[in-house]
Amino acid sequence: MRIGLFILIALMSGCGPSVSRLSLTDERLPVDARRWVADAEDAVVVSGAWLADAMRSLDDANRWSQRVLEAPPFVGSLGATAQLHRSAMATAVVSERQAAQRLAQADLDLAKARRTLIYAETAMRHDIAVYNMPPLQALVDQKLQAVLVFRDQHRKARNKALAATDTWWATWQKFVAAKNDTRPFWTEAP
Amino acid sequence: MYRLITAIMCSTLTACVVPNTELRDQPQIERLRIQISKARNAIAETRSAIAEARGAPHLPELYVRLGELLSDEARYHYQVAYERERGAGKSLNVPQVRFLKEQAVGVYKLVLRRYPKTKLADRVLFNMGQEYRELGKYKEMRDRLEQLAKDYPLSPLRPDALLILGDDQFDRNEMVKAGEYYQQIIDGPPGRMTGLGHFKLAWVFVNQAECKAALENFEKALIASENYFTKANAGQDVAGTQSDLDVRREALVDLVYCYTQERKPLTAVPFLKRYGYSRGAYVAALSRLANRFSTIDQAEGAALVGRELLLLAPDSPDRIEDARMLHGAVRKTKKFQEVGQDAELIARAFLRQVRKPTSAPETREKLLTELEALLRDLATRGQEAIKKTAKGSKDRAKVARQVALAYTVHVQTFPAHEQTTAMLQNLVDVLTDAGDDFNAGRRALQVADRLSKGPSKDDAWYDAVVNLQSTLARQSGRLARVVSRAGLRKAGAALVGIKTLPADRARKVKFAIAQTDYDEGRFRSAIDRLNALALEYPQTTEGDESVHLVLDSYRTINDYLGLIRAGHRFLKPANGVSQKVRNEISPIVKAAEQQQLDELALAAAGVDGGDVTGDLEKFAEAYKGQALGERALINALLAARAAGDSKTLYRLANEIQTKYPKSEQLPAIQSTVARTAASRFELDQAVKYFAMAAQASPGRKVTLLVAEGQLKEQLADTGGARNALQNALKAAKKPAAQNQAATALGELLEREGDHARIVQKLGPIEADAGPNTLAYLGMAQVRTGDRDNGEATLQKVIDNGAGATQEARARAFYGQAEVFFGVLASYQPEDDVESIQELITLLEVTEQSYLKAAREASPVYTAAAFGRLASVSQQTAKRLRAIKIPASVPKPAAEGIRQAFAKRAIRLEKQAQDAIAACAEQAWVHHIFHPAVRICLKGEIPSTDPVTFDKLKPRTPPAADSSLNAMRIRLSKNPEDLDALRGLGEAFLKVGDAHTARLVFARAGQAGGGPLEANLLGIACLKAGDTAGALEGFARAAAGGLEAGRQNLASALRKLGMGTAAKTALEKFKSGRPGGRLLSGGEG
Repeated sequence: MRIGLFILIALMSGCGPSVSRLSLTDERLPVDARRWVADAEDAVVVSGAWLADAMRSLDDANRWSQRVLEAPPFVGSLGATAQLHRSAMATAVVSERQAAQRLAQADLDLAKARRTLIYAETAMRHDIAVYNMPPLQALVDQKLQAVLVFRDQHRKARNKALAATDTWWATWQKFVAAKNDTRPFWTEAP
Repeated sequence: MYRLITAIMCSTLTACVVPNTELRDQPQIERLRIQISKARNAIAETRSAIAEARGAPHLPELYVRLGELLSDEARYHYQVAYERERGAGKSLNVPQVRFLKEQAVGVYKLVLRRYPKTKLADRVLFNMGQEYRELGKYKEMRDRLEQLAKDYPLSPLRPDALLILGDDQFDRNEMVKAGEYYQQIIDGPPGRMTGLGHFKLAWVFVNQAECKAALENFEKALIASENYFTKANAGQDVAGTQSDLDVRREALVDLVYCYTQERKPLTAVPFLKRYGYSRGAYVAALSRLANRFSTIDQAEGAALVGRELLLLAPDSPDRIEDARMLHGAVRKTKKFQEVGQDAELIARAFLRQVRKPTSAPETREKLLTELEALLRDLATRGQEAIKKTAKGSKDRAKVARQVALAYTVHVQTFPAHEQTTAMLQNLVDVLTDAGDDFNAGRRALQVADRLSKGPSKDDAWYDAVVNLQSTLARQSGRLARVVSRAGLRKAGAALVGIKTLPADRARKVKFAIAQTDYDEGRFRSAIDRLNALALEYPQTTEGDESVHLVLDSYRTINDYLGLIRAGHRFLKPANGVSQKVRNEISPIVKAAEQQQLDELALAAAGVDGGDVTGDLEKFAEAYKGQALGERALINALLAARAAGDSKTLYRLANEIQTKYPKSEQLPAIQSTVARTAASRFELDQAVKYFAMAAQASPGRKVTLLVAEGQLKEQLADTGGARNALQNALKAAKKPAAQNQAATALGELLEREGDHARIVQKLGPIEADAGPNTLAYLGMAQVRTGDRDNGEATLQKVIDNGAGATQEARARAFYGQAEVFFGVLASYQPEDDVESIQELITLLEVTEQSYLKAAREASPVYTAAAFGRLASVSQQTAKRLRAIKIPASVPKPAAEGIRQAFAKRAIRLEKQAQDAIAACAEQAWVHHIFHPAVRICLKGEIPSTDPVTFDKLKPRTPPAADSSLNAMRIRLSKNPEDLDALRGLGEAFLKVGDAHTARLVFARAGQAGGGPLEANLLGIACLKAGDTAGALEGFARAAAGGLEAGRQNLASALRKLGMGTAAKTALEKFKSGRPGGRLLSGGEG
């Protein structure tokens, strides 16, 4: 009984129905169908590259942010404000990169779900295999919804980061104009 | 008793361990004794053989062998005596040797006496010479060997004999005579002894103090020996036997003295290298040369030799001497072009000795102290020498590199020495001189690390920054760049932490640090630092450069939004960036804005759902009133169109019209929106936007109005359609546009049956009208009774040939036929034969015209032409039967004419039946159910022009239905989506918009739809009032095998009062598969 419940939960949690991969050299498929499948596979590769790029960018932002946050504090007039705005900017930039990474991950998941759906559709259209299509379509819809949510989150995070950046540079401009000691900015650990 | 026995046993056992008193000879002597025994046995055996071989031809050979065996035994005896007396230091007295040798001489004499002509004579003479020499009888020896040399010039033993003779004279200091013998060897055929001959002769010249000749012979000895051994090693047949005496090494070493006397010292090493056939020989000669140069104080040569020795000679304490010699030589010559490599060689020689486990600590210490002094001396003297060379010259850089190497050897060998920091400082200077910024920077970092706080340390950091920055400024390897950047950041960080650092230096150092981030691709960090720098030091070289690098970094990471924000920050005058830089970056920012817009548009185009246009609309808001804002809105509109979001599409179209009323893109936008609406079957919107686009676009007004008119006609708004098309005709200024509008208007008016209006509207443009327009005009003229003009107008169409469409040609032939039919009907022949013949001709012309019209395959006019052909045939047949033959015709002839007319009438009646059948066949073959065809299907012959059209029922536009959106979105993405088209058409039928449904199903048919869609098209057409379309749809469905189509066709025909045709339809189309909708509402 418990095992059955476990299997049911596992299936519901997104394991999804198994769909066999179609070969691009499968002679049963016409050229158009192969192109269609190849496009779906390309989309997965492109999304994967995008995710890798987003992860790299997040790592870069994290390293930079860490340096910024560990740097000696600004002193003098506006020192506290400068410190506050710089930290806020660093945090906002990292948040934006995190949101970008989540979006990239969701996009990859969507591309994979679409690829599966296209495998199934193509296989059925050309009498290679038979699949239960509604769950596959539902999975794509579910992943698409996730992408839409993450895209919205990323937009918000990006706007926040841009605003925080503008604020910081305005403060820095004033800080510098007041002839304050700018060495803390430059003596952060490289 | 027991004690006695024990004592005896002990004594016995003790006796066992007493050493043997018999002394044995050493193994070497034992071996010689065995040899002596063997020789004696051989001698005995040879003597027996001689005794038995009296008179045999090989007897001389046996004698010679006996002599040689006796000589061998004598040699063994001598060797035994030598071994025994070794170390005794007294002269040997061995009587057996003399005895045996004299015996041998006796045997040889016997051979020469008994067999004077033996082939072994040269060997006998040579052996005798040898025996005499060993017996101390030198005169006899010379006599025998000279005899050999004289009498046997070709003997292989001759050179050996000459060598012995030469050596004999040499030993007696008779150099001239010795030289003569050696010369004879050289003059003989080249062989194993030739090289030796030269070598010996060279020594003769050395002893005669003739170095030039001696050097020549040493060189020849080298060459001759080299040639001989090369051939010998290659296995070639060479004269003589292999000699163990290789004079090459000796010649190479011995020539050194004369070489230094005769030739330039700097050529010595290359000379020796050329002839140094082995490393050992070469090194031996070099050693001799080194000693010689030391003796004669030749520094330049000594330097060369020293380098070679240190490089090639085996490791030994002698190398220390060589190293010292090299140091001394370099120092003395003051030539530092190779001082770096010299330092390496010297250090290696010393360190090898120092590192030997056997070296005593004191020796090591002493050697290291000496090495440090030598290296320091060489490097510092080299640096002094650099100063004497011209600045910037190639030579200076070359020497500087060598001196730098010398310093490097020093600092690497003595990293913890008290002088090392000073040496490193010198190294930085020298590397800078050498143009090696990278290593200068690296060494400066080391210097800075070693120095304690103070100006010198700060200078070292700064030197490091400057040099490493120079490295990065030019092309350098990846490793150099990575190391330089790391070093630069380290030095920079140390420098910027100094409060007292001058502002100028601080700025440069900060820029250098920031630039390393940029160069390493750490753009996030680069943007941060360069931005800070640009705002902290505006209007400086570094500040200005930073502005550009910030923007470039953003561009590199594709962050156009960031670039735009940063750009606008820099463009604000309050931020202090120079006007020049602001002018430079302004176009960059603008381009980025453009790029950002493109990126957003691109992103929006690929979005699957959600807020597709949000970013673009936000961007448009930010650039409201600017061209960029307008473009953003247009892109948003296009994205909405691609996503199938028509609500946003219309909103954005209105927004563009409101915000940018003067936009040049407005007509295109409205036209696009109209077409999009049409493709999504939002036809009322489409009509609206076609009208708007036509108003906004004078250039495309005619096309857009025609589209509007045609769409309105399909929606049963004939009045609206007429207005639009008339407006289009009015707006058309050029003939092409006029024809476009006129054709559409002519088509509409013909369907309405308003022929007078056709003449009214199209008549004025007749002069410029094309064949299609003329076809409508001519047909209308005929129909309104203006037969003459009509015929002339239609003749123009026919004359146009291929320029007219099939439809126009069909209309033209049909119109002319109608004119001829009219004339034929009213023609009354007079009472003469010519008049009757004219009637027949007129009939034939009319028939031909209808047949030509029928052949043009027009859906409407082909059937009509067949119908009218039937009519003319039937009427003419009646007339022919009733025709009166003129009285002037003789009776027999009159009877013949009457019979011919009767036959003709029969043929015409049959033609009428055939024509009606052909007309009706249009329905079953081509699925055309035009009113003209329907007349034929009833079996009737049209007595008048049967070309009329079904009239669409008035349409009531349905209320907005959001349930259609899903399918419309699908169609936006794929206009060929058959499922979506079918779904949408059914939805329209459901909400009562049969007119739109009709268009949707027609589109489905074009997109590859089958009988199912054709049947639905029939239903929609029937509901919209398009009877011909409905019957065609059903017929196509029936032909495609759909039973519902078959039943619907029969049902519709029955309702039209065409029961026979319905029956025929059921016969013509076989029963089909179930499925599809029935007119009754059920499923087929």
